[in-house]
Amino acid sequence: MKENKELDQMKKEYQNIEVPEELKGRMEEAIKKAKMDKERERFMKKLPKRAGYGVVAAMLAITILANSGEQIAYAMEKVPVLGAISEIVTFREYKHKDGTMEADIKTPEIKGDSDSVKNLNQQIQKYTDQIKENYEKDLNQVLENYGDTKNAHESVQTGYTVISDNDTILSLQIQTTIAMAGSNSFSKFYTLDKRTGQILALQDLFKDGADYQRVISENIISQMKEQMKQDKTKSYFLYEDDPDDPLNFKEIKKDQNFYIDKEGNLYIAFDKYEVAPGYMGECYFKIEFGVIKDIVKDNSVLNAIRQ
Amino acid sequence: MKKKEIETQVSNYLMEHYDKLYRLAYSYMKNQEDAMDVVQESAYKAIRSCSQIQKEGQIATWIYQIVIHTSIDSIRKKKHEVVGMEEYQEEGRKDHYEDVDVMKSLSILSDEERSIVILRYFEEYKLKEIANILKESENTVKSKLYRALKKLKIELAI
Repeated sequence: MKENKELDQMKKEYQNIEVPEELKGRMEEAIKKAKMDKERERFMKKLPKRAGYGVVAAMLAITILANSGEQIAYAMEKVPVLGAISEIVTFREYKHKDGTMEADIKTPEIKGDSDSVKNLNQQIQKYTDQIKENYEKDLNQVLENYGDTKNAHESVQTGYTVISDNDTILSLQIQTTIAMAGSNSFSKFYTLDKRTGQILALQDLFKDGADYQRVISENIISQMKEQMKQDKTKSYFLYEDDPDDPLNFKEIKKDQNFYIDKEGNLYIAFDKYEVAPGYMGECYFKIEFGVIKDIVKDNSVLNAIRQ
Repeated sequence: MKKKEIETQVSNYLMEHYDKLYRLAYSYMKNQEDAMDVVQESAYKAIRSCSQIQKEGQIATWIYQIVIHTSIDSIRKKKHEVVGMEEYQEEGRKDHYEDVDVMKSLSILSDEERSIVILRYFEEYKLKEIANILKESENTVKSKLYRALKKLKIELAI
């Protein structure tokens, strides 16, 4: 490179641009926060919230979805699986506390003797068992490494909410909040079609071969953009300038978490950090019926509730 | 490299060279506050997704990539904010450089041309590395650099 006075002068000035003192502390803070968020994600990944990843969820998906005979069997019972109002009780509660390590995991149970109810209860129990197991693993790890829990902080809270319960469906949310330095939160939703006894996966709402992932994702992306436009404090992982950004939201998963409200509206649910920075928490998007009416099955629970 | 090792190296790089990252962000953002926000966000993103890095030698170019993307993204978001707010200018967030002559000289360049000049002459990266950072071919970077120097009325062999 040839020497050039002007460029040398510019370089000198450039390197003299003052860097604010507080930046160092802010760098440390950002790095620490990123490391903590990664740790929490690692904990969540162990959970069977995403069928296909978690062993338990994958196993359940096979028993329920692949075994189409099961659905027919329930339909042939021709007895309403549940009444309009289902009785739901806390089946068991796991409580543990050792210093700053604590857990409170509630497992709900739906009252009833039919196979579909037993099946749903079994799934829920496996799910909360897994959360408990993860907590115990962490606890044992801490005890192994330090001998006590003084150096660790972890709090796991799992509870449940009935989102809708009517003649057609029972929609149940099991929500877990994990606090380790920061906090994380994720949910598993169960939607039982009371007419057939089938536990619904998202794809069960749509006609065979319908590209529901694309239709819904496009709608969610435009909702995200609209929300960010309306409210500057909102933020989602949509980096338009860098379509390759690994955090970018592109499409919902085939078996994305969802729930259905009392009026028969479909909501798509995302865990904290799944599509937005942590401060946004868990994110839910209502999908207007008009958006999906051409691809939903004619006899879907959505139609049944809306009639 | 193991994941944990990469994370440590990325975090070391960030702490040792944040001044360089800051200056590059400053060239985009044109004020201290926004430049700091960009560098802080870039550091967060870098640690979050550093498992993508394959080789140790990629760390610097990869981090510069993040800083540039984050700057552009942040400018775009700010543009939305400014609509309907012309009357109100936040104190200290003026959209012009504060007394930095070099930045005034460079302001006749496009964002990309300016980054190329900064990375090539002030940070002394090779054309090939700059091409990696900007995801462009080496030839494109070279011709953009020529164009930039021409605009700056600087004559020299590259």
